[in-house]
Amino acid sequence: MSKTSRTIVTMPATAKKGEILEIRIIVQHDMESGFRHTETGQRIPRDIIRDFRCTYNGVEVFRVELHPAMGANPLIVFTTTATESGTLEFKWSGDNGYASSTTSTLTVT
Amino acid sequence: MTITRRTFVLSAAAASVLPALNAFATVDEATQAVDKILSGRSAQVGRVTLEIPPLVENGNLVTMKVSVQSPMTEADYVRTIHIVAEGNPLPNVVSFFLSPRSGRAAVTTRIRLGDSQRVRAIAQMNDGSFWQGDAATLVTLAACTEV
Amino acid sequence: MSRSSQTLQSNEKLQRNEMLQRNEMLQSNEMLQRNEMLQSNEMLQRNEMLQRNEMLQRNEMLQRNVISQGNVISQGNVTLRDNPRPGGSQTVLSCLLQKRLSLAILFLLAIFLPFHAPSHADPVGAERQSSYVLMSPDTKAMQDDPLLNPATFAVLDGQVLWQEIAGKKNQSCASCHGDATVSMKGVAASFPKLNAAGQLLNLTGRINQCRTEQQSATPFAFESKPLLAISAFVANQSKGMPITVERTPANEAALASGQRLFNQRMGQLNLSCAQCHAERAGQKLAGNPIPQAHPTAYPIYRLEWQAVGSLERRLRNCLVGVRAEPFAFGSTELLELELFLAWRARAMLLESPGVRP
Repeated sequence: MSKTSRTIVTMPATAKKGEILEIRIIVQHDMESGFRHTETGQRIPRDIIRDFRCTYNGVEVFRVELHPAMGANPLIVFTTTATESGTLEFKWSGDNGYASSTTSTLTVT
Repeated sequence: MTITRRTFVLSAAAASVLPALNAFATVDEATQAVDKILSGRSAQVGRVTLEIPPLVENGNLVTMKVSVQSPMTEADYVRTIHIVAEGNPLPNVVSFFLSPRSGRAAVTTRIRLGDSQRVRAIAQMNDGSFWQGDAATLVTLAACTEV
Repeated sequence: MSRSSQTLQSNEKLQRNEMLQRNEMLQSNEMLQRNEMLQSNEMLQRNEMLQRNEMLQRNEMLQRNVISQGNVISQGNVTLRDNPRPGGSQTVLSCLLQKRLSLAILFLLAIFLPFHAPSHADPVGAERQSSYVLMSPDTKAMQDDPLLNPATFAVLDGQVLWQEIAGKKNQSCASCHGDATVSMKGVAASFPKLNAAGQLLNLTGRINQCRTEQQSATPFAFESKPLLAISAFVANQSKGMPITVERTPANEAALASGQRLFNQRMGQLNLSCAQCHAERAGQKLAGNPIPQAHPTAYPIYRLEWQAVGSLERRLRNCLVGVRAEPFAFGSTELLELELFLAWRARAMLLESPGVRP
């Protein structure tokens, strides 16, 4: 069976060249820290997102290394400069082969 | 040598506390984690602002903002920002890797804090120098146990 | 600042771009079911849908939003957990000691409370307040902005499940109820109530009744993700609307029973709901402000749970808190208590899905 993992990206669709854009991204993931226990005392194994990358027309502009102390449904708000029109790609990867990718387009005038 | 009852009781009490002590030995671990980031260099205090609410209702999701004073140009920009917690089971929380294209060195995210503690932010500039800031916070827990 | 309709156009582009082509590629594996979810997200991208959905009302947000479909490339061993997450109670070992400490405080308070703390009557009318007002600005912001609210994902999941065909009759919720933004408006605000057969049901009970009787499908397990998702989606359609539960000849007996339960001392700590939530609401218990306990935001994303949960889960936790055997999910006692709480909160506005610490 598979688990849904949706990503919501909030960012402008258009920008002026040189403008600093705020990008807000949140992904659906429980981020099981590995420190919780079941009622019978068994440790629940770690299952988290470990890596987030944002590429802008193929060039990596921002990267994050996540550890178990990142909250569930990770939210990251960061900035990038509008350089040219194109595609921004947001990639998450983590434990147990988790991988998820979202894109959005940006028109720069 | 006979062990007195007092010695036995005291050492048993100490032994029962020891495992719990390990769970709290994170200030040292945090210092080690920071040392690992600095790899021999030192971090100046300043330029880095870490914003965490001083009183947190629940440590499971704490909004945290870190910003570093920097022009973010090719000549002078923030390369990485590391967040280290002194009161969590693991000291490393998150690391951000920026570039001149970031425009601003400011990132917001939501983290887990297991206890009231000081959280530290270490930023490395493109010239290799380190700057640091920190924030202390009180983390409250729910009044009743939850299942 | 005005934004053009670029967002709408780029949304449409999203629908046409490679991502959807990749969706077709993934049809062969279990992602097929999830593809329907991804395709259903198209609905989200249509502006009118956004405008009708109270969640995304703010114009600025509408113009700036790119609600992208998370395209999961590979799943590995990820499994869908239908059953309630095993009750891992805390994230760190150090909390065990604090748990004991807070229990000790609770115990002492229980002993001294009736004798020393001043109390007042149950707040009524305009004195009633949602526990929203007790939260920090940070947590309030988390609830108010759907794009920061961790429960939003549950609502989106519910929106997709609404369309999902299930059971021997091959019907989805939408087959009968159509557009939820129309048909479900005000519905969550009217529960708990009696069905045609005179059976008291809360919203999740009603959803399961539809599953078994109308869809001939297996009911969802209590507190399971799909059940919470659909109830979050349905409850969200009543956001901002007043609770409409009233005393009627039909529900009178159940309501009286619920009121008795609310006032009844329970558990080893021998405390009733009323002693804390009616008489001492606004005072502190182990450092936390005591809410009046109006169910205006359910299902909630409780930071303590790190998940969305129902009112029943919360009530069971209160019972554990006073060291009473918690009533079972779906039990008459919990339903009667829920009915009383909803009636007690009548005319208060729903905030679902809420965020609570």
